[in-house]
Amino acid sequence: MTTTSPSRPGTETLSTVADDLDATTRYDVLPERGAAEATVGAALDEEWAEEPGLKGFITTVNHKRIGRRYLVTAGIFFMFAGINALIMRTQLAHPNQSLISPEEYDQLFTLHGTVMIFFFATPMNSGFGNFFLPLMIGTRDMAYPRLNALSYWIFLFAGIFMLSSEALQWAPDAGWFAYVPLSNEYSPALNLDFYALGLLFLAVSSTIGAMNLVVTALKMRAPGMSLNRVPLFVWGIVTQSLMLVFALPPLDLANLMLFLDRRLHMRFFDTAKGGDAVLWQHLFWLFGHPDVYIIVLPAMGIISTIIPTFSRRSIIGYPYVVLATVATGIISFGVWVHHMFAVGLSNVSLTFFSAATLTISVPAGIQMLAWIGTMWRGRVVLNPAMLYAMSFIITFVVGGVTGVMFAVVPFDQQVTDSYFVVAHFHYVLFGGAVLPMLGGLFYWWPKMTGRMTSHAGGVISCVLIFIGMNLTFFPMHIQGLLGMPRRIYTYPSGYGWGTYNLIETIGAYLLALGFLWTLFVFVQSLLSGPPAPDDPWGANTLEWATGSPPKPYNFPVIPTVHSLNPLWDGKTLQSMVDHRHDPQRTMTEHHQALRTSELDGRIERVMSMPGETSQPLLVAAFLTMTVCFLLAGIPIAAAVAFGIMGLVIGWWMWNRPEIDEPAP
Amino acid sequence: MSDVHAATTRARIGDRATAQGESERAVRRGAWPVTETPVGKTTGWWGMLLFIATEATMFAAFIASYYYLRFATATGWPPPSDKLPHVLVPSIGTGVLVLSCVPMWLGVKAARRGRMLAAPLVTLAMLAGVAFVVLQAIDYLQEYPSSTPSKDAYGSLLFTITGLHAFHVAIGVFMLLLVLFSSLFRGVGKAQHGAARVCAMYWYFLAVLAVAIYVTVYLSPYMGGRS
Repeated sequence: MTTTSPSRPGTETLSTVADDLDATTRYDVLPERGAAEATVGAALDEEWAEEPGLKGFITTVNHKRIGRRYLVTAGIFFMFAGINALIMRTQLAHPNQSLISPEEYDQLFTLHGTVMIFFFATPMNSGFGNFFLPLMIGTRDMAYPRLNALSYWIFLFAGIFMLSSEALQWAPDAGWFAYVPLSNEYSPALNLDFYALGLLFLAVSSTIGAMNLVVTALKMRAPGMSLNRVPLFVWGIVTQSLMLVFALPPLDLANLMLFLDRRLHMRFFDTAKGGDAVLWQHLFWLFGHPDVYIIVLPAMGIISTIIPTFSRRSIIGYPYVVLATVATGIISFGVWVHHMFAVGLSNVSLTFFSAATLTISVPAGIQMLAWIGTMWRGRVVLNPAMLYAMSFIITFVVGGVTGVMFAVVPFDQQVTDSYFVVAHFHYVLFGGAVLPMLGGLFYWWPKMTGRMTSHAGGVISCVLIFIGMNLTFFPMHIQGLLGMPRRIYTYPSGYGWGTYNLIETIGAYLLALGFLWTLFVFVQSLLSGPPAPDDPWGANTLEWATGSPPKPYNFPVIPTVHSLNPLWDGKTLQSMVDHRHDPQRTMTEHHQALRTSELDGRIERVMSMPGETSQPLLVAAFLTMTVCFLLAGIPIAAAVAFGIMGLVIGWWMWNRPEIDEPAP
Repeated sequence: MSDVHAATTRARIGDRATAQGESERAVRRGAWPVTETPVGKTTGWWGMLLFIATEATMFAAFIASYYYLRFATATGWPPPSDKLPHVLVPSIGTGVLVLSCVPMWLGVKAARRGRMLAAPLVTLAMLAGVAFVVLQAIDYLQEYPSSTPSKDAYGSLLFTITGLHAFHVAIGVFMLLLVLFSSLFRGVGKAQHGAARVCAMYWYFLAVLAVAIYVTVYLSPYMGGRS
């Protein structure tokens, strides 16, 4: 790195950085990291060596392996839910088709929504967060490595549990928001038990995963990384995780009540016995609306990471983007009733929530301006990741504009439950989350796998998916305004919906082709892609100061962070060389990480970290047994499995590294 | 400036026995130059704080649901077919759990100084938790013929809110059991203090929650419920 001054908006330094892109990519290994590895790499390799083979696979607590697993597993669930959607689109291509029965159609759209939201989008964010949050803040592992492994195993088992329902023909069939009494007294079979138990099961994973990410970001940042130097992706993940901590409980409570109503004949939602069906809707949407931002905020964080790198300048308005991210998280808890405008609530609450919904578009607009401004004031380098980021900006604006339209109560009441809503939330969730995630995959692929992807392949992937996405979802706006309701398994001809449906189906197949192509690009890269250097893009954040792929210990020497763009300031990388003989920064003696203060990133002490263990898998296995026994209606067996899980947790708590391992 | 910090932090790391509370007091005395608060919180402390936050949100949603259903019920609260809840036994249970915070607090304080007294004090708090669960069960026997979980929404709420809380108290007892068992083999010392302190946080949370639930489930039906 030849630039030495920190990049400031509007100075020549930035274009200098851009000109140096070639200069930086010439190094396979950053010279500063090379020097640090030469000093302490051998000792660390020995200390952080992992068990090979199956044993290592089961016992690993390495956040990078767990992050990769999250990404792959969520990707498989995405394909599964995507195939469900393709079957639905095939059924809807023409009027009056009967490719599948209405009952099967109900299961397909319910599972499509449930799996996409809970088992793809949120865990995909966890995957990126797991892999990159510790790298971006310059530490060696998550705050709770074993809990990290546990949250992955629970996610995997909960996903298998949920998907197995489709194989058994008992898939949930009351829509992803499962309104009572349809999900209650009118669904006597096991379908909705899979839903309630599966989501409760998954919530365990999401909650501990979220707590882990927050604590990691608070306590383990590299020295010098005060709050105003925290990368925006980390802000996105932390805000999302804090939202999960507060948003999941209402959903858990709702599912607990639903399960008790269904199985023990309790009366929470039974209107005839003093219960209330609208209570379900309140609890569900009290989770459900924050969940939109739980999915979108980390994705926005990915955008805030990609855009500065490929605009060759620091992000514009960093503090405003941070405040906007946090504000979005807070305001999103006060807008849930806009999902219930057609329920018949009082006008006072409609007015309040309408105003709140209009308010939430302000922080989103601030972020939008920051991204566009960064590109405008920078020098844009086109790359698949950047193309995806730009596609996101276009589609998310469309989704945001239709979102503001829903804040207008009379309009909402007109189009509610129509395809207009379907169009809106696919623009928000596909445009706002899937496109950034694909961008993130292209951006970080070299870091995750050590291989470069084909540039042309990536461009084709983006073009195919962008066109396919718009072809699939744009006509739904019109079709919704023409009155086509959502969730109907077929429709008569003569309403003028046929052409739009056909276009959408063609778009859906184009989209599927795009995903197959993208998969091909990634597989091709794994098999024969050129090896990736440490920092192929000349990026600004700390993850690029590690190897590609990173060593198990990430950083041979924990750097001192000097600015928001640590790889561009010249001093941060140099600190890895300067501190290479400092035992506090190298920690070669034991499995250790550095604990720093919450606000200013001041060093507090060296922490001993736990190593590989199979306890998380055991706990997850017994929890799975508990859930399966509850589903089968054998409470005694469930209690026994739960009790054994408690004993395993006791064994786990016995081995606390701060007691077992001597500190320096 | 940074040299000063490096020196002080190195001094702190070197002194392995420095327990959490001691470093905080040292900062308050001004022994170390630190400009931000909170000081020296552990990852365990933050994890427990977040865990309490998520649990508190769930119980808050549950209590809100209670009042939501109460005020949506036109026939009075509890419904005419149910009797008003019994108050005496839950009052004793809640009182016992709240008072158990005192030995808990003293126990953690003793553990920080490595005193053997910590173990009996924490055991006392734990036994109070057991007593709470038993008293809750006794209360169920009193309520049962008149209110049941499946009779109406009132019964569902009464049994589920208190049952979920009692289950959490049982988890708290289990946590204290682990800490005590660990001290049995490793001795009461500073190494145990961090764990005991985090468990105590959860214990105080359970006690505060018990009061909120007691007021909601056992007292509020007496307040204008039957008009």
